[in-house]
Amino acid sequence: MTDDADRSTVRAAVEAVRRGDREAFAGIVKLYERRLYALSLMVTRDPAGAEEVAQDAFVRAFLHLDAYDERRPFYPWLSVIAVRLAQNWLVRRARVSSREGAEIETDTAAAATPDPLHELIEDEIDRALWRAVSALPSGERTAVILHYRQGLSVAEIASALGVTTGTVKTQLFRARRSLRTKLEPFPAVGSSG
Amino acid sequence: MTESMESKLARLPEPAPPAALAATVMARIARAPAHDSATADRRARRPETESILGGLWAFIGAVLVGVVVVQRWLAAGFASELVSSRIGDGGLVLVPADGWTSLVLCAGLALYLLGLFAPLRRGRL
Repeated sequence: MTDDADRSTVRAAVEAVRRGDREAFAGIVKLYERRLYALSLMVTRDPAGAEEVAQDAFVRAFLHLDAYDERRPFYPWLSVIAVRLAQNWLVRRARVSSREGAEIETDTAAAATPDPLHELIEDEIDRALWRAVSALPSGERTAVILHYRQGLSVAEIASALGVTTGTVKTQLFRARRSLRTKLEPFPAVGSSG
Repeated sequence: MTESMESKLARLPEPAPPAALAATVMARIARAPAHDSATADRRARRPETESILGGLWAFIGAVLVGVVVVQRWLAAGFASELVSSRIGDGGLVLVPADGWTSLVLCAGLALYLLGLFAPLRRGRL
């Protein structure tokens, strides 16, 4: 489906929901469920967590549809909601893990979690890239995904995550440095830039 | 990050969401509180209406105080009559002579203050 078609689908659905037809929101869910689930999975690295985050993001978007500015594209608005929820999910999981004495955010822990995305990637270089991104600390990983995959600017990421632009720049800098080191065996993607 | 890395990251596949995701979302939405534009409009208009009402109360209070003071002033014939003799010749405190006037004056002041601070009270809620 083209962007224009997406936009008209969203506009029609938003208008219908605002008139009281909540079933019309199904069109929006159908349109974005795959992208939003993938984004949630990339940030949480946990299929169950990603499902919870994606569900909550859609429901929250529905409940706060009045706050959506129709002059702007819908998906970036929705993805910011999902990323905030995913951040909260990571914080909650970190609290639970620390109570249980488990270590998280380490390469070992990331490798131990079954990753459906890793299984989908066929190309060896792409797989190495995702493995490297996946192993980044959550803040750096989120910044990289939002900037390089979702196309958000540094200012937009800072606003979405509730941090300063300086923090986002630092996270991106550290992430790039870490990725370059990890992808050195693959000069096609690992060279500095 | 190199351009190659960026484009590769953007092209990574998207795993299929759980089959029940959309159905679960719609079931939760069906149970969510009512949501329509009329409700949203009412919610958006409420602060504006409250602000106008606050201004109106303040205005009524100020008019009431003004009318009482002017009425007392005119009735007395000159301003010094409104000043308590207990304060002295050059006293500055306004003390109306009878209880009824005091009551109206206090009510006017109270209305004025309520209207004046209405936006602050709303902000705290």
